[in-house]
Amino acid sequence: MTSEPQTAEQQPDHYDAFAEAYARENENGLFNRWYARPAVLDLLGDVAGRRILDAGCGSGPLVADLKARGASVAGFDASPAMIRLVRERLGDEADLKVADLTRPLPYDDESFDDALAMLVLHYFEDWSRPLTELRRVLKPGGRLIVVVNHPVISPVMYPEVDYFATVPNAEEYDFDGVSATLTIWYRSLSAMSESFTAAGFRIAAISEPPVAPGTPPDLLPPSKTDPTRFLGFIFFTLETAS
Amino acid sequence: MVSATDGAGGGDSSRPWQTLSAGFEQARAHEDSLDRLVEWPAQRALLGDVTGLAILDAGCGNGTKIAQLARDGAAASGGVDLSENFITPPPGVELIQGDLSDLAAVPGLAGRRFDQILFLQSFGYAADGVRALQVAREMLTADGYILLTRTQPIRYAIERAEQNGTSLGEEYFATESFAYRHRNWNDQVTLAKRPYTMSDLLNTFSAAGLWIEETVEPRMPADAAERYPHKQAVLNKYLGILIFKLRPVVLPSR
Repeated sequence: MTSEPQTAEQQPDHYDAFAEAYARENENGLFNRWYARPAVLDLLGDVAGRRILDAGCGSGPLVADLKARGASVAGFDASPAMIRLVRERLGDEADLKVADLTRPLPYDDESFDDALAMLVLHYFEDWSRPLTELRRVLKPGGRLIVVVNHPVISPVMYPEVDYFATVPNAEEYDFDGVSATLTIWYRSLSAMSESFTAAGFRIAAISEPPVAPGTPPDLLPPSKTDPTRFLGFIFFTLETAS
Repeated sequence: MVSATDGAGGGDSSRPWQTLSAGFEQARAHEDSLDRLVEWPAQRALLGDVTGLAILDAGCGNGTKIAQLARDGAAASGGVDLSENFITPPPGVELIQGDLSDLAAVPGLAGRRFDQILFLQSFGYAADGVRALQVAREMLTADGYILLTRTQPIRYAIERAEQNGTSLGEEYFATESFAYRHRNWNDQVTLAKRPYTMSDLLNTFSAAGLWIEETVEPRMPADAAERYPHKQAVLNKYLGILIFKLRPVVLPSR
Protein backbone atom coordinates (compact mmCIF):
# COMPACT_ATOMS: atom_id res chain seq x y z
CA MET A 1 0.00 0.00 0.00
CA THR A 2 1.25 3.48 -0.79
CA SER A 3 -0.23 6.39 1.09
CA GLU A 4 -2.02 9.23 -0.59
CA PRO A 5 0.30 12.23 -0.81
CA GLN A 6 -0.13 14.93 1.80
CA THR A 7 -1.78 18.15 0.78
CA ALA A 8 -0.64 20.16 3.79
CA GLU A 9 2.42 21.35 1.87
CA GLN A 10 3.46 24.84 2.96
CA GLN A 11 0.89 25.13 5.76
CA PRO A 12 2.39 27.47 8.36
CA ASP A 13 3.61 25.67 11.47
CA HIS A 14 4.12 26.73 15.09
CA TYR A 15 7.87 26.25 14.65
CA ASP A 16 8.07 28.76 11.79
CA ALA A 17 8.02 31.65 14.28
CA PHE A 18 11.32 30.65 15.87
CA ALA A 19 12.86 28.33 13.27
CA GLU A 20 16.10 30.25 12.86
CA ALA A 21 16.73 30.72 16.58
CA TYR A 22 15.92 27.04 17.15
CA ALA A 23 18.34 26.05 14.41
CA ARG A 24 21.12 28.20 15.89
CA GLU A 25 20.51 26.73 19.35
CA ASN A 26 20.63 23.17 18.05
CA GLU A 27 23.72 23.83 16.01
CA ASN A 28 25.85 24.37 19.11
CA GLY A 29 23.70 23.83 22.23
CA LEU A 30 24.25 21.10 24.78
CA PHE A 31 21.09 19.07 24.25
CA ASN A 32 21.27 18.65 20.50
CA ARG A 33 24.85 19.18 19.34
CA TRP A 34 26.55 17.43 22.28
CA TYR A 35 23.94 14.98 23.52
CA ALA A 36 21.04 13.78 21.31
CA ARG A 37 22.71 14.00 17.91
CA PRO A 38 26.00 12.22 18.73
CA ALA A 39 24.07 9.58 20.68
CA VAL A 40 21.83 8.84 17.68
CA LEU A 41 24.83 8.63 15.36
CA ASP A 42 26.46 6.26 17.83
CA LEU A 43 23.37 4.03 17.94
CA LEU A 44 23.16 3.88 14.15
CA GLY A 45 26.80 2.85 13.74
CA ASP A 46 28.05 2.50 10.17
CA VAL A 47 25.41 4.06 7.93
CA ALA A 48 27.32 4.08 4.62
CA GLY A 49 24.96 3.04 1.82
CA ARG A 50 21.91 2.87 4.09
CA ARG A 51 18.66 4.60 3.20
CA ILE A 52 17.56 6.64 6.24
CA LEU A 53 14.47 8.75 6.98
CA ASP A 54 14.74 11.63 9.47
CA ALA A 55 11.18 12.29 10.67
CA GLY A 56 10.88 15.81 12.07
CA CYS A 57 14.30 16.76 10.77
CA GLY A 58 14.08 20.42 11.86
CA SER A 59 16.80 22.50 10.25
CA GLY A 60 18.57 19.28 9.24
CA PRO A 61 21.77 18.93 11.29
CA LEU A 62 21.31 15.17 11.52
CA VAL A 63 20.48 14.90 7.81
CA ALA A 64 23.79 16.65 7.13
CA ASP A 65 25.73 14.41 9.54
CA LEU A 66 24.28 11.25 8.01
CA LYS A 67 24.93 12.37 4.44
CA ALA A 68 28.52 13.14 5.42
CA ARG A 69 28.78 9.55 6.68
CA GLY A 70 27.66 8.12 3.36
CA ALA A 71 23.97 7.47 4.00
CA SER A 72 21.22 8.25 1.53
CA VAL A 73 18.96 10.46 3.63
CA ALA A 74 15.41 11.74 3.27
CA GLY A 75 14.04 14.25 5.75
CA PHE A 76 10.74 15.91 6.45
CA ASP A 77 9.36 18.43 8.88
CA ALA A 78 5.96 20.02 9.48
CA SER A 79 7.53 23.49 9.44
CA PRO A 80 8.11 24.99 5.96
CA ALA A 81 10.57 27.45 7.54
CA MET A 82 12.65 24.55 8.85
CA ILE A 83 12.68 22.83 5.47
CA ARG A 84 13.81 26.12 3.84
CA LEU A 85 16.73 26.18 6.31
CA VAL A 86 17.76 22.61 5.42
CA ARG A 87 17.57 23.42 1.71
CA GLU A 88 19.83 26.44 2.27
CA ARG A 89 22.29 24.10 3.97
CA LEU A 90 22.13 21.09 1.68
CA GLY A 91 21.00 22.44 -1.66
CA ASP A 92 17.88 21.86 -3.74
CA GLU A 93 18.73 18.30 -4.73
CA ALA A 94 18.46 17.04 -1.13
CA ASP A 95 15.43 14.77 -0.52
CA LEU A 96 13.40 17.05 1.75
CA LYS A 97 9.67 17.51 2.21
CA VAL A 98 7.17 19.42 4.29
CA ALA A 99 5.03 16.68 5.83
CA ASP A 100 3.05 15.99 8.96
CA LEU A 101 3.89 12.90 11.00
CA THR A 102 0.27 12.54 12.08
CA ARG A 103 -0.86 12.04 8.46
CA PRO A 104 0.05 9.48 5.76
CA LEU A 105 3.70 10.02 4.85
CA PRO A 106 4.73 10.71 1.25
CA TYR A 107 7.04 7.68 1.01
CA ASP A 108 6.60 4.17 -0.39
CA ASP A 109 6.23 1.06 1.74
CA GLU A 110 9.47 -0.61 2.88
CA SER A 111 11.68 2.07 1.42
CA PHE A 112 14.06 2.77 4.35
CA ASP A 113 16.67 0.76 6.26
CA ASP A 114 16.40 3.04 9.29
CA ALA A 115 14.12 5.80 10.49
CA LEU A 116 14.72 8.45 13.15
CA ALA A 117 12.20 10.27 15.29
CA MET A 118 14.44 12.51 17.35
CA LEU A 119 12.63 14.82 19.78
CA VAL A 120 9.45 14.88 17.75
CA LEU A 121 7.02 12.23 19.06
CA HIS A 122 6.53 14.03 22.37
CA TYR A 123 4.59 16.75 20.52
CA PHE A 124 1.80 14.23 19.88
CA GLU A 125 -0.81 12.82 22.21
CA ASP A 126 -1.46 9.81 20.00
CA TRP A 127 1.55 7.90 18.71
CA SER A 128 -0.39 5.26 16.80
CA ARG A 129 -0.51 7.00 13.39
CA PRO A 130 3.11 8.26 13.48
CA LEU A 131 4.47 4.86 14.53
CA THR A 132 2.29 2.93 12.08
CA GLU A 133 3.49 5.15 9.24
CA LEU A 134 7.14 4.83 10.24
CA ARG A 135 6.67 1.05 10.48
CA ARG A 136 5.13 1.04 7.00
CA VAL A 137 8.02 2.82 5.31
CA LEU A 138 10.69 0.65 7.00
CA LYS A 139 12.06 -2.45 5.30
CA PRO A 140 11.67 -5.79 7.14
CA GLY A 141 14.30 -5.86 9.89
CA GLY A 142 14.53 -2.05 9.79
CA ARG A 143 15.31 0.02 12.84
CA LEU A 144 13.54 3.04 14.29
CA ILE A 145 15.44 5.25 16.73
CA VAL A 146 13.11 7.21 19.00
CA VAL A 147 14.39 9.99 21.25
CA VAL A 148 11.99 11.62 23.71
CA ASN A 149 12.12 13.30 27.08
CA HIS A 150 12.93 10.73 29.74
CA PRO A 151 9.64 9.57 31.26
CA VAL A 152 10.76 10.07 34.87
CA ILE A 153 11.43 13.76 34.28
CA SER A 154 7.83 14.88 34.68
CA PRO A 155 7.23 13.62 38.25
CA VAL A 156 10.49 15.23 39.33
CA MET A 157 10.32 18.54 37.46
CA TYR A 158 6.56 18.92 37.20
CA PRO A 159 5.06 17.18 40.27
CA GLU A 160 1.62 18.45 39.28
CA VAL A 161 1.77 16.31 36.11
CA ASP A 162 0.27 12.85 36.64
CA TYR A 163 3.02 10.38 35.68
CA PHE A 164 0.53 7.61 34.93
CA ALA A 165 -1.53 9.70 32.48
CA THR A 166 -0.66 10.97 29.00
CA VAL A 167 -0.95 14.69 29.51
CA PRO A 168 0.25 17.90 27.83
CA ASN A 169 2.51 20.37 29.57
CA ALA A 170 3.24 23.83 28.12
CA GLU A 171 6.88 24.72 28.69
CA GLU A 172 8.82 27.91 28.09
CA TYR A 173 12.10 27.50 26.24
CA ASP A 174 14.80 29.93 25.30
CA PHE A 175 16.32 29.22 21.90
CA ASP A 176 19.37 31.40 21.43
CA GLY A 177 17.65 34.39 23.02
CA VAL A 178 14.23 33.81 21.47
CA SER A 179 11.57 32.48 23.83
CA ALA A 180 9.03 29.93 22.66
CA THR A 181 6.34 27.83 24.26
CA LEU A 182 6.38 24.15 23.40
CA THR A 183 3.65 21.76 24.45
CA ILE A 184 5.18 18.44 25.42
CA TRP A 185 3.00 15.37 25.92
CA TYR A 186 4.35 13.36 28.85
CA ARG A 187 3.63 9.67 29.16
CA SER A 188 4.86 6.76 31.21
CA LEU A 189 7.38 4.15 30.10
CA SER A 190 4.55 1.62 29.86
CA ALA A 191 2.51 3.92 27.62
CA MET A 192 5.50 4.26 25.28
CA SER A 193 6.15 0.53 25.31
CA GLU A 194 2.49 -0.17 24.58
CA SER A 195 2.54 2.18 21.56
CA PHE A 196 5.66 0.52 20.17
CA THR A 197 4.19 -2.99 20.48
CA ALA A 198 0.85 -1.94 19.00
CA ALA A 199 2.62 -0.53 15.92
CA GLY A 200 4.64 -3.71 15.38
CA PHE A 201 7.92 -2.69 16.97
CA ARG A 202 10.01 -4.37 19.63
CA ILE A 203 12.42 -2.57 21.95
CA ALA A 204 15.86 -3.89 20.99
CA ALA A 205 17.72 -1.53 23.33
CA ILE A 206 17.30 1.50 25.56
CA SER A 207 20.11 4.02 26.02
CA GLU A 208 20.63 6.73 28.60
CA PRO A 209 24.06 7.87 27.42
CA PRO A 210 26.44 10.54 28.69
CA VAL A 211 27.13 13.63 26.58
CA ALA A 212 29.65 13.32 23.75
CA PRO A 213 33.37 13.43 24.52
CA GLY A 214 34.70 16.95 24.05
CA THR A 215 31.54 18.71 25.24
CA PRO A 216 32.60 22.19 26.38
CA PRO A 217 32.62 22.04 30.23
CA ASP A 218 30.88 25.42 30.53
CA LEU A 219 27.78 23.92 28.88
CA LEU A 220 27.48 21.13 31.46
CA PRO A 221 25.30 21.32 34.58
CA PRO A 222 27.06 21.57 37.94
CA SER A 223 27.78 18.17 39.45
CA LYS A 224 29.92 16.87 42.29
CA THR A 225 30.57 13.55 40.61
CA ASP A 226 29.93 13.32 36.87
CA PRO A 227 28.45 16.26 34.94
CA THR A 228 28.38 14.28 31.71
CA ARG A 229 25.40 12.20 32.85
CA PHE A 230 22.03 13.70 33.66
CA LEU A 231 18.40 12.74 33.21
CA GLY A 232 17.47 14.29 29.89
CA PHE A 233 16.30 12.14 27.03
CA ILE A 234 15.71 8.43 26.61
CA PHE A 235 16.81 6.68 23.41
CA PHE A 236 14.95 3.63 22.10
CA THR A 237 16.27 1.39 19.37
CA LEU A 238 13.22 -0.38 17.97
CA GLU A 239 13.17 -3.27 15.54
CA THR A 240 10.30 -4.26 13.33
CA ALA A 241 8.69 -7.37 14.82
CA SER A 242 8.48 -10.24 12.35
CA MET B 1 23.61 -6.79 61.80
CA VAL B 2 23.41 -8.75 58.58
CA SER B 3 23.61 -7.75 54.97
CA ALA B 4 22.63 -8.95 51.53
CA THR B 5 23.15 -7.78 48.00
CA ASP B 6 20.55 -6.84 45.42
CA GLY B 7 21.69 -5.62 42.05
CA ALA B 8 21.88 -6.05 38.35
CA GLY B 9 24.82 -8.40 38.77
CA GLY B 10 23.78 -8.81 42.39
CA GLY B 11 24.19 -12.08 44.18
CA ASP B 12 22.62 -12.71 47.51
CA SER B 13 23.68 -14.62 50.54
CA SER B 14 20.75 -16.35 52.14
CA ARG B 15 21.33 -15.36 55.78
CA PRO B 16 19.94 -11.80 55.71
CA TRP B 17 16.78 -12.88 53.98
CA GLN B 18 16.20 -15.59 56.56
CA THR B 19 16.24 -12.83 59.17
CA LEU B 20 14.25 -10.48 57.01
CA SER B 21 11.58 -12.80 55.65
CA ALA B 22 9.19 -12.72 58.62
CA GLY B 23 9.07 -8.91 58.74
CA PHE B 24 8.83 -8.75 54.96
CA GLU B 25 5.82 -11.05 54.86
CA GLN B 26 4.12 -9.18 57.71
CA ALA B 27 4.62 -5.84 55.94
CA ARG B 28 3.23 -7.22 52.70
CA ALA B 29 0.19 -8.62 54.46
CA HIS B 30 -0.83 -5.21 55.89
CA GLU B 31 -4.09 -4.03 54.40
CA ASP B 32 -2.47 -0.82 53.18
CA SER B 33 0.65 -2.42 51.66
CA LEU B 34 1.26 -1.43 48.06
CA ASP B 35 1.63 -5.11 47.29
CA ARG B 36 -1.96 -5.75 48.36
CA LEU B 37 -3.42 -2.52 47.03
CA VAL B 38 -1.62 -2.16 43.70
CA GLU B 39 0.99 -4.74 42.77
CA TRP B 40 -0.59 -8.14 43.32
CA PRO B 41 -3.97 -7.18 41.79
CA ALA B 42 -2.14 -5.95 38.66
CA GLN B 43 0.07 -9.03 38.49
CA ARG B 44 -2.89 -11.34 39.01
CA ALA B 45 -4.87 -9.58 36.26
CA LEU B 46 -2.01 -10.01 33.80
CA LEU B 47 -1.71 -13.72 34.55
CA GLY B 48 -5.35 -14.18 33.58
CA ASP B 49 -7.03 -17.60 33.68
CA VAL B 50 -4.44 -19.96 35.15
CA THR B 51 -6.57 -23.10 35.06
CA GLY B 52 -4.39 -26.11 34.36
CA LEU B 53 -1.22 -24.04 33.91
CA ALA B 54 2.14 -24.98 35.40
CA ILE B 55 3.53 -21.90 37.17
CA LEU B 56 6.88 -21.34 38.86
CA ASP B 57 7.28 -18.46 41.33
CA ALA B 58 11.00 -17.61 41.43
CA GLY B 59 11.70 -15.86 44.70
CA CYS B 60 8.32 -16.84 46.11
CA GLY B 61 8.86 -15.62 49.68
CA ASN B 62 6.70 -17.73 51.95
CA GLY B 63 4.74 -19.08 48.96
CA THR B 64 1.45 -17.25 49.52
CA LYS B 65 1.09 -16.11 45.90
CA ILE B 66 1.81 -19.43 44.22
CA ALA B 67 -0.60 -21.03 46.71
CA GLN B 68 -3.23 -18.50 45.66
CA LEU B 69 -2.63 -19.34 41.99
CA ALA B 70 -3.01 -23.04 42.79
CA ARG B 71 -6.34 -22.29 44.46
CA ASP B 72 -7.29 -20.41 41.28
CA GLY B 73 -6.69 -23.59 39.26
CA ALA B 74 -2.95 -23.70 38.45
CA ALA B 75 -1.62 -27.24 38.29
CA ALA B 76 1.79 -28.75 39.07
CA SER B 77 3.24 -25.49 40.29
CA GLY B 78 6.19 -24.55 42.41
CA GLY B 79 7.90 -21.82 44.33
CA VAL B 80 11.61 -21.29 44.94
CA ASP B 81 13.10 -19.09 47.64
CA LEU B 82 16.34 -18.83 49.55
CA SER B 83 14.58 -18.48 52.85
CA GLU B 84 12.80 -21.54 54.18
CA ASN B 85 10.03 -19.60 55.79
CA PHE B 86 7.34 -21.39 53.79
CA ILE B 87 3.65 -21.81 54.44
CA THR B 88 2.22 -25.31 54.23
CA PRO B 89 1.51 -25.52 50.51
CA PRO B 90 -1.82 -26.69 49.08
CA PRO B 91 -1.88 -29.93 47.06
CA GLY B 92 -0.03 -29.63 43.74
CA VAL B 93 2.34 -26.90 44.93
CA GLU B 94 5.92 -27.63 45.83
CA LEU B 95 7.93 -25.01 47.75
CA ILE B 96 11.64 -25.55 47.37
CA GLN B 97 14.59 -23.89 49.09
CA GLY B 98 16.93 -22.75 46.33
CA ASP B 99 18.53 -19.90 44.41
CA LEU B 100 16.62 -18.25 41.56
CA SER B 101 19.98 -17.42 39.91
CA ASP B 102 19.94 -20.86 38.27
CA LEU B 103 16.47 -22.36 38.37
CA ALA B 104 17.50 -25.45 36.40
CA ALA B 105 19.90 -26.33 39.23
CA VAL B 106 17.22 -26.13 41.92
CA PRO B 107 16.48 -29.66 43.26
CA GLY B 108 13.52 -31.16 41.44
CA LEU B 109 13.29 -28.54 38.67
CA ALA B 110 15.77 -29.90 36.10
CA GLY B 111 13.94 -30.79 32.90
CA ARG B 112 10.60 -29.30 34.01
CA ARG B 113 8.62 -26.87 31.87
CA PHE B 114 6.34 -24.05 33.00
CA ASP B 115 3.68 -21.96 31.29
CA GLN B 116 4.45 -18.93 33.45
CA ILE B 117 7.62 -18.17 35.39
CA LEU B 118 7.31 -15.29 37.84
CA PHE B 119 10.03 -13.00 39.16
CA LEU B 120 7.94 -10.76 41.40
CA GLN B 121 10.28 -8.17 42.98
CA SER B 122 12.89 -10.93 43.19
CA PHE B 123 14.97 -10.44 40.05
CA GLY B 124 17.51 -8.16 41.77
CA TYR B 125 18.70 -11.11 43.83
CA ALA B 126 19.93 -13.06 40.81
CA ALA B 127 23.71 -13.37 40.80
CA ASP B 128 23.67 -12.72 37.04
CA GLY B 129 20.39 -11.35 35.70
CA VAL B 130 20.98 -12.30 32.07
CA ARG B 131 21.96 -15.85 32.98
CA ALA B 132 19.00 -16.24 35.34
CA LEU B 133 16.59 -15.20 32.56
CA GLN B 134 18.29 -17.38 29.95
CA VAL B 135 17.85 -20.41 32.23
CA ALA B 136 14.22 -19.48 32.91
CA ARG B 137 13.54 -18.96 29.19
CA GLU B 138 14.68 -22.54 28.49
CA MET B 139 12.20 -23.81 31.08
CA LEU B 140 9.18 -22.24 29.35
CA THR B 141 6.61 -24.22 27.40
CA ALA B 142 6.13 -23.31 23.72
CA ASP B 143 3.56 -20.60 24.55
CA GLY B 144 5.04 -19.74 27.94
CA TYR B 145 6.15 -16.37 29.23
CA ILE B 146 7.99 -14.72 32.10
CA LEU B 147 6.29 -12.12 34.29
CA LEU B 148 8.90 -9.92 35.93
CA THR B 149 8.42 -6.93 38.20
CA ARG B 150 10.94 -4.41 39.50
CA THR B 151 10.83 -1.16 41.41
CA GLN B 152 11.04 1.96 39.26
CA PRO B 153 14.76 2.77 39.36
CA ILE B 154 14.06 6.47 39.92
CA ARG B 155 12.66 5.62 43.36
CA TYR B 156 16.04 4.89 44.91
CA ALA B 157 17.62 7.85 43.13
CA ILE B 158 15.01 10.21 44.59
CA GLU B 159 15.49 8.84 48.09
CA ARG B 160 19.26 9.00 47.95
CA ALA B 161 19.37 12.45 46.36
CA GLU B 162 17.26 13.70 49.29
CA GLN B 163 19.43 11.90 51.84
CA ASN B 164 22.79 12.86 50.35
CA GLY B 165 22.05 16.35 49.03
CA THR B 166 23.09 15.18 45.56
CA SER B 167 21.39 15.64 42.20
CA LEU B 168 18.92 13.14 40.86
CA GLY B 169 21.08 12.42 37.82
CA GLU B 170 24.12 11.73 40.00
CA GLU B 171 22.21 9.17 42.03
CA TYR B 172 20.33 7.68 39.06
CA PHE B 173 23.56 6.96 37.21
CA ALA B 174 25.59 5.98 40.30
CA THR B 175 27.20 2.57 40.09
CA GLU B 176 28.34 1.98 43.68
CA SER B 177 26.21 -0.29 45.84
CA PHE B 178 24.41 1.46 48.64
CA ALA B 179 23.19 0.32 52.05
CA TYR B 180 19.44 0.09 52.34
CA ARG B 181 17.29 -0.65 55.35
CA HIS B 182 13.58 -1.16 54.91
CA ARG B 183 12.05 0.15 58.09
CA ASN B 184 8.75 -1.60 57.47
CA TRP B 185 10.41 -5.01 57.15
CA ASN B 186 13.21 -5.11 59.71
CA ASP B 187 15.37 -2.07 60.34
CA GLN B 188 18.15 -4.20 61.80
CA VAL B 189 18.89 -5.81 58.44
CA THR B 190 20.94 -3.92 55.86
CA LEU B 191 20.56 -4.84 52.21
CA ALA B 192 23.35 -3.76 49.85
CA LYS B 193 21.52 -2.63 46.72
CA ARG B 194 23.20 -2.05 43.41
CA PRO B 195 21.74 0.88 41.50
CA TYR B 196 20.20 0.24 38.08
CA THR B 197 18.74 2.43 35.38
CA MET B 198 15.85 1.76 33.01
CA SER B 199 18.33 0.82 30.30
CA ASP B 200 20.23 -1.55 32.62
CA LEU B 201 16.97 -3.32 33.35
CA LEU B 202 15.38 -3.46 29.91
CA ASN B 203 18.58 -4.32 28.06
CA THR B 204 18.91 -7.39 30.32
CA PHE B 205 15.80 -8.77 28.65
CA SER B 206 17.11 -8.51 25.09
CA ALA B 207 20.48 -9.88 26.21
CA ALA B 208 18.64 -12.95 27.53
CA GLY B 209 16.75 -13.44 24.24
CA LEU B 210 13.43 -12.06 25.49
CA TRP B 211 11.18 -9.33 24.15
CA ILE B 212 8.69 -7.19 26.01
CA GLU B 213 5.16 -8.08 24.97
CA GLU B 214 3.58 -5.86 27.59
CA THR B 215 4.67 -3.27 30.15
CA VAL B 216 2.41 -2.22 32.97
CA GLU B 217 2.88 0.45 35.63
CA PRO B 218 -0.02 -0.22 37.97
CA ARG B 219 -1.92 2.65 39.57
CA MET B 220 -3.89 2.65 42.78
CA PRO B 221 -7.62 1.99 42.30
CA ALA B 222 -9.61 5.17 43.05
CA ASP B 223 -11.34 3.77 46.14
CA ALA B 224 -8.02 2.64 47.61
CA ALA B 225 -6.46 6.04 46.86
CA GLU B 226 -9.29 7.67 48.80
CA ARG B 227 -8.91 5.31 51.72
CA TYR B 228 -5.10 5.43 51.88
CA PRO B 229 -4.00 8.90 50.67
CA HIS B 230 -0.54 8.40 52.25
CA LYS B 231 0.01 5.43 49.95
CA GLN B 232 -1.19 7.37 46.91
CA ALA B 233 1.35 10.06 47.83
CA VAL B 234 4.11 7.43 47.92
CA LEU B 235 3.06 6.21 44.47
CA ASN B 236 2.90 9.76 43.04
CA LYS B 237 6.42 10.45 44.23
CA TYR B 238 8.18 7.13 43.62
CA LEU B 239 6.03 5.72 40.77
CA GLY B 240 5.78 2.19 42.15
CA ILE B 241 6.81 -0.81 40.10
CA LEU B 242 7.28 -1.84 36.49
CA ILE B 243 5.70 -5.11 35.34
CA PHE B 244 6.96 -6.82 32.19
CA LYS B 245 5.51 -9.74 30.27
CA LEU B 246 8.48 -11.27 28.46
CA ARG B 247 8.46 -13.80 25.65
CA PRO B 248 11.34 -15.65 23.99
CA VAL B 249 12.56 -14.10 20.76
CA VAL B 250 11.90 -16.65 18.05
CA LEU B 251 14.47 -16.28 15.32
CA PRO B 252 13.26 -16.85 11.76
CA SER B 253 14.09 -20.39 10.66
CA ARG B 254 16.87 -20.59 8.10
